Amino acid sequence: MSRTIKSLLCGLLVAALSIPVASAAPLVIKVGSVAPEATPWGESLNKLAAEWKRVSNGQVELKIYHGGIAGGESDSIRKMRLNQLQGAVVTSFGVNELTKDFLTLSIPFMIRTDAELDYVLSKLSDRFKAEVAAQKFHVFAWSKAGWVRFFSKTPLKVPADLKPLKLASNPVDQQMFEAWQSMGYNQVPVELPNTLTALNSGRIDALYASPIATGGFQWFGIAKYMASIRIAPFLGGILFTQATWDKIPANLKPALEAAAAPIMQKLDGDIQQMETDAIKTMKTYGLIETTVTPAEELVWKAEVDAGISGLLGKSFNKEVYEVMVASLAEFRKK
Amino acid sequence: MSDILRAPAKSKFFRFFHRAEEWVGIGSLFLLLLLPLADFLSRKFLNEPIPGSLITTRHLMLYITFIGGMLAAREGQHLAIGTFISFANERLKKLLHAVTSFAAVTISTAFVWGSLSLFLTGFTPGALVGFLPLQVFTVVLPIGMTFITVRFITKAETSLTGKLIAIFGVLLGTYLALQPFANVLTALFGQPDWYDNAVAFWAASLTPLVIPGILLLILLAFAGLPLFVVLGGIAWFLFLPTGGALETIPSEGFTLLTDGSMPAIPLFTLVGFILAEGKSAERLIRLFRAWFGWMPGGLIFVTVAVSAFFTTFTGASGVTILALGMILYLILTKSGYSPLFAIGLLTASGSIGILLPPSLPMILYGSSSRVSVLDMFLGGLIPGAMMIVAMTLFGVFTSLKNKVERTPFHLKEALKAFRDGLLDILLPVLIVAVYFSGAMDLTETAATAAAYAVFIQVVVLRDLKWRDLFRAMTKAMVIMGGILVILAFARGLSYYIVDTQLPTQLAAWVKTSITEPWVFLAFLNLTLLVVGMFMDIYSAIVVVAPLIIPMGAVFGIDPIHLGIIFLVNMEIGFLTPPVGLNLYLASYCFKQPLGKITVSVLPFLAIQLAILMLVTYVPWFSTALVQLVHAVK
Repeated sequence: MSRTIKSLLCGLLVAALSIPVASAAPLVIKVGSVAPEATPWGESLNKLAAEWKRVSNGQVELKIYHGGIAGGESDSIRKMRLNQLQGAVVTSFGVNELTKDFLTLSIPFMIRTDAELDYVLSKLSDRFKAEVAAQKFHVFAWSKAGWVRFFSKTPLKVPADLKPLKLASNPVDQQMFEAWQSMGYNQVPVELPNTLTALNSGRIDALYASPIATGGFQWFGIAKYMASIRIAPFLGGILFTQATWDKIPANLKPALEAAAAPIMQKLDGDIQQMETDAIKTMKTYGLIETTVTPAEELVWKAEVDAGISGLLGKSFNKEVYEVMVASLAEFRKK
Repeated sequence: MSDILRAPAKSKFFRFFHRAEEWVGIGSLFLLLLLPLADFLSRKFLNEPIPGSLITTRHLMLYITFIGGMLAAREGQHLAIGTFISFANERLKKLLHAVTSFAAVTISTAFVWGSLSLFLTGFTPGALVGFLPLQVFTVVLPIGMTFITVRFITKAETSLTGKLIAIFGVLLGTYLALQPFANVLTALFGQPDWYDNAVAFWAASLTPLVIPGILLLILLAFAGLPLFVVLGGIAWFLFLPTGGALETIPSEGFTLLTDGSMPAIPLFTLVGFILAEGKSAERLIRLFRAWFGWMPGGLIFVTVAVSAFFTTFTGASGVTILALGMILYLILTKSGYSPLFAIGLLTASGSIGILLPPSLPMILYGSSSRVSVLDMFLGGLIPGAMMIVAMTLFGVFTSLKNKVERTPFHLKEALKAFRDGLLDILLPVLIVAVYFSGAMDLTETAATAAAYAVFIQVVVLRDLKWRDLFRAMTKAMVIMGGILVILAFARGLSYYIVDTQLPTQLAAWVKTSITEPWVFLAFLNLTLLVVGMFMDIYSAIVVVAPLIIPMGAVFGIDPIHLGIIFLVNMEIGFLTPPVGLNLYLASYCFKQPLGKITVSVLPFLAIQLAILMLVTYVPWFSTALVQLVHAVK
């Protein structure tokens, strides 16, 4: 290599190393969301993006990828690790990839109302946030995503009604599979897009899902009985990568959080409304709700208690479970 | 098909190594076949699934793809266009070979770093697949890319200069991948101090190279640069100035390959290879000729109907061509149709069942767009039938024009052919029975078909010895590796489109600029044809469909009608380069250059475009049955 080229290269390198990295360009945060744009989730995210742009004077810009176009939940989390996305809206499954303890909240028939969920979450939130932080993610907010229920081809009231049926299970979700297996149910792994064909062809007779999903995917056309008992709450959360969260100027953060609070609060209400509406619509198209009496609810609960004890310390975190049980007892006493 | 594998290597070490990689491939393929079956049987008889079997099956696809990719590189079988090269003289050929080798080494080196960084940083630590750590599966990405790179170097021009040029590609490739390379160092030793500055300099230094780089790759595609390198390289250059993570490209490949619908592809391919290597084809040809050879265009009808029927349950992934292409090709050519016509017909028929139940794209479209899947199927019946009839009529016309010889019908011969071919013809019957009865899902059906093919060919009829079977499996690995790496890298390219939010912007523009429904429909068709050229059908359903549905509502287009237009467009997309899957599959299957395949499908493309026009501007075809059924209800 000639001397001129060498010195030219050296000069370039020196110039490059002295380029200041920080500049006035806005911080663009790409956020993936599995929810379609025309849902309360999508609308809230758009509103959040607009609010943050306004509050930060254009310094913080959220670029939202709605409807799963940036990938499913584990895909979005992988993209956050790679720094292709800097934020994502995920459900319990996504959070569970970052902390295996999270699905403990979704053990069937434990938490029964939104108020109970709020109370339990207030006791455990910091713990979950710390575990997620250990993976270099920042939980910006939790949100409710609705309640999971049974949908089946024949009416369900008590566990004995479900025992002879083939229950769909998500092949990716080993923990829930084990939970249902511990109670002796007959599960068939079915990929989500194949659920309708599986119902049609008799590969499965029952499934557990949120009413919003069941309405959207039209599963209720065949699994037309919904049991009134709520199986478990389904949560959501807005995550950012820790690195991105750290890049937001500290003096901006209180304003951003304050701007988000009313949006998130309204979202909780909208989600509940959406679920109620979904059930109402499905009922006009032939969905039948079977009422599970309080006495029957206890039968379901007793089954879980018997089955789950063997899984504590293995599939589900024992400590989290115990905190949950204790705070539920506390809450119900009040 | 016998020239896929070359003679064994001379050196003892290489022979051993080659055997070893073949056995890893064959082993993965066997597991892919056995796991779904074992799971099915265990559920059936013990009432309990085998824990983790489904998820393990999905991840085995990584081995099938990258071991297959290594084998394809070893055998020089990575799919390429290579139009120039046939016109070039010896000196020019040598030069082109050196340049394409350099480019191939450069891009694949970049992907070695990209996939290594993905392996080290992309996944949740401690994640399990069944009982095994996830890394056991993901490690095959960087390993596979490394061997592919090494093989591009060893296959480069043999002179010293040629080798040096190829090796220079490793340096350039590493520079192109400086950020992933630095991420690898960070993952192993902690972040170096120079990280931020070096990456900033690197990004700035490469920005001017983006457009020349892409143009060069496109040019080299015509000089024989493997297509997966072209697609991956273009994606790489496009991602550079976005400031995004280059690891996203292999990561998208990972997502696609581990999707639940993928394992059926290699399994059905294997069925095709086993049938082709044995004497099935001959027996089936005899059978079909004896029963349908007397009708003008009778064999055309059989071909189109069988292909359509097969596609409906392979999810239009183009598997039809691999599973049946060779057999049907032999039937057609031996009955007097020209090879070019036969290839065109088979390639074009490979996606023709998309509109008919129980096609997976229809189900996905229905469920992701909140349109009743049943209504979608009703809507697709008439357009789907129109496709089949139009293709058949064209075939009948051709057969009359070219005076294709007909064989008179003899009952005795027909019955004998039926008896001899009974076990072979039972295969599609078996597939239909287990799949449509709902007893098995697609992967299990494919595994059952493969097991049945092995059983009749190796155990019952003994057309193949076990050794022949292993050889057929190795060949299937080479072919599948070639196709799956293209799919994986094409997916990386379509993520670039997602990242730019271009579709969203386009949708916003349409809403403000177009007022007439018929203009909207024309624009829609043009856009979707372009989308179909670059995106596979599943990505398009996820990315594009949610954008056009609200637009359709604005212009008062019936959602079923809109869905059918969308899917007919995507069906045509299987036949248009550069991401026309059927063209690649056909090129492999029939051993013809991509250019020739493209020419052969032109008349059929014209037919499908004509049907598209009819379906677009006559909504009745899509909506009549839906309305009828709802009225009866």
